Amino acid sequence: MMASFREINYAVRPAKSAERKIMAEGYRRLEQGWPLSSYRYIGMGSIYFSDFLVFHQALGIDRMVSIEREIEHRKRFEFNRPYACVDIIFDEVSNVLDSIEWDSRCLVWLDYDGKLELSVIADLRQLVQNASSGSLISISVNVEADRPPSNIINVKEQDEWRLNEFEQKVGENLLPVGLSGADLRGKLYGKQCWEVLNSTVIDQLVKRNGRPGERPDSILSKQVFHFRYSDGVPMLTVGWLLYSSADSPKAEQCNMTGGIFRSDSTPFSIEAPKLTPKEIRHLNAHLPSGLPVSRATIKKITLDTGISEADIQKFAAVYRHYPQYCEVAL
Amino acid sequence: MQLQAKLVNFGKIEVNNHNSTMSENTIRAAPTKEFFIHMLTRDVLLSRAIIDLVDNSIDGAKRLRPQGDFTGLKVEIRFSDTEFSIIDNCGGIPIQIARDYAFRFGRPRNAPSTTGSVGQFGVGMKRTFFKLGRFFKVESVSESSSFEMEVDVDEWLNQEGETDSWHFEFKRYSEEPNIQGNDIGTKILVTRLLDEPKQSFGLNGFVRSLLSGLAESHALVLEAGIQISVNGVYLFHDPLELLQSHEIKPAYKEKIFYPDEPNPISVRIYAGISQRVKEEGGWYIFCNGRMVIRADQSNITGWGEGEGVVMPKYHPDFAFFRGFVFFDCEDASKLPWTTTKTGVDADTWIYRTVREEMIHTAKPVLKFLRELASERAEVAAGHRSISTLERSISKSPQCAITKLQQNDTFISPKPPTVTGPKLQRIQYSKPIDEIEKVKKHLNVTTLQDVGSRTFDYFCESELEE
Repeated sequence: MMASFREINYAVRPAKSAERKIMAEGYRRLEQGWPLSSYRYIGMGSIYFSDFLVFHQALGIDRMVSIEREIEHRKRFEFNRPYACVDIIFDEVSNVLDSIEWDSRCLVWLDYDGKLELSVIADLRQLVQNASSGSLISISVNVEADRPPSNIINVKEQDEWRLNEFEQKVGENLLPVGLSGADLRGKLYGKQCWEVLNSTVIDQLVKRNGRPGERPDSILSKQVFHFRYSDGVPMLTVGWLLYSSADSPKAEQCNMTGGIFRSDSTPFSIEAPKLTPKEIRHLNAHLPSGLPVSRATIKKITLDTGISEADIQKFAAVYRHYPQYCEVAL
Repeated sequence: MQLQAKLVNFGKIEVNNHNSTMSENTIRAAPTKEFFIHMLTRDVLLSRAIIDLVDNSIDGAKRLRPQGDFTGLKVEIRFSDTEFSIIDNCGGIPIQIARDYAFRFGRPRNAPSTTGSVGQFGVGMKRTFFKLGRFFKVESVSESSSFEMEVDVDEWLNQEGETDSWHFEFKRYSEEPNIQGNDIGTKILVTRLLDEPKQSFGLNGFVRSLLSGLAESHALVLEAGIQISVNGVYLFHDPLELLQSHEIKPAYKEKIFYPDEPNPISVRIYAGISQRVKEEGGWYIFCNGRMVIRADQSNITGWGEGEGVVMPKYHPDFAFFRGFVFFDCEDASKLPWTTTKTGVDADTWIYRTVREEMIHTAKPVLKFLRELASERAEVAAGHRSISTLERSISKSPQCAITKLQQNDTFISPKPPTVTGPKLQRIQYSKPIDEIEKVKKHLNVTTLQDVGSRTFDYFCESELEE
């Protein structure tokens, strides 16, 4: 397999870039419950370390671990280490998660390029099993639907193929009950991935908590992030706050609801229309205006610029986070 | 035929009873004596049933010597084609326990518990008697009392009455304290043996499996000094050991579930490596010292979890692996064992929780064993002169688990670090004459060159940079 950092420049994927900033904003809410300085960030920094840059700069987190499997390129990774506080561990994710000491609160983001599969589920299980109260764990996967091979033309057979393919990826146990191949077509695929990830968290917490009944040390989960975005391939990010029953008031204080937060199956869509710098400046001048943008404002902007209402709404949802690119000579 | 006649007869009594004591809207649910005698005895192997009887002796030993030193205590089992006996000097059964609990079917909720007892479901002893024969005699002398009872099972079956009137009778009893410590113990005799035990008792294989079953189930009490014999043959046991050296250190974890509540459950987990024996590799689980699972290589103990991604399926490469789990609780009913004590109840929360911990503890050991296997394969293929990991295993001595250093995670040497890109071997077969043609064309002499040159050719001409 080609090392993915050689295929993708993570810094210039605009939706991803916006997602990082949105997550930083989400993380900042944790300060209401637990001091941000008490957190450790665990991520997969590649050679760009874009997430490490944002979270160190924006949140001041100074204990950071980057998991990296490409040990052959060790030198390059170490050369690109952005701050001295970033510890790069060269090993498979599951081995690193095995060896980490879990006594301190963590922000973990397992940002996979690939699709949801058994190893991803296994890693998520390990996180849910171990993360201490106050930790926020997130996982990103590619949710592009599987394409049946061209020799399967019959729609029914295509659906059977989809179901079979999905079952092979996620295993029989976590397959949503009553799932049919038609539920895995195109855009529906991401919803099923979300279902599987959520079942994984619930299932693992039952194992972790042991004896039925809530006690002060029982760990609870609350979904806080649910993003969908695409820089070419559709991606899904889900994040959960894990907290002990005793820490429920703290979790409550963080008030991770509304805005960028999502606690259910409806994702927050990070999607920006293609706009020129001039259009962006013009739109910014009318923002913030609350969501959805009022009819009067839309009418005015559309009249001035010709930008469609849908594009205006999309832009208004992410305008603070969406990057703008221009070429500079370094 | 005799049995059928009795069932019909018994049914009649029930009908009569029904008419006299029950109202029209009551549905009968009371069990029958036949149920206990015929159904319960089916669930258990004969050798297991006899091991259950030894559990009663062990419980006596635990009452007598709560500190756990069983030196001088004995359990002697003897059998022939006419009778079965088990004699111990393990403290006897106190008369209150005999009167109110020991011979009841099922353990009442308010029964006093023997600290860390192995008998808990209140079925073991009776089940074994019924499985063995139709007459049994129990004589027991404890520090505070003594009793003797005899039961003719056929007569007992013929006694009429509802379940709350079921009873046995003491032939003789005394509640005088006994001063002579020597006699303190229990003697059990079963006669009028049924055909199945009569036949089994003559089989060498049965005696052998009983010996090994006892040695395994009671490995820990044997270690504590008790002597158990079968027809005069004393049991030996292999002590539980793992390899330990400065390079290899087994993992040890302990956890007490709910220490602030009455009867907390203590769990200890050991995972490491031992000699490579395919049948011995796996997990061993003990409940209050009784081995309930032996060398398990199935999903019950986590093998193959998450379709093999979370934890791999058992494989001969893992034959070095040994894991020991000890569940201990003063209240034996909280332990995750099955009634036959030959397995764990995987649906209990305690086992589900501990199983996750077992998987977590085992993973570093399995990772090491995989690295070891790939080193051994490289040595076998001639790519490497020596396996450093294998060498460190051979330098590590066995250590009794009670004497291990206590490390949270398994410690093992790292394989020598790989330099350059990771390599993988490819192997395939092709017709010899085609290979010869390619060899000639490439102007090479070895098969390895044929493989790598054709691969290079494909990479150069077909792949983009």
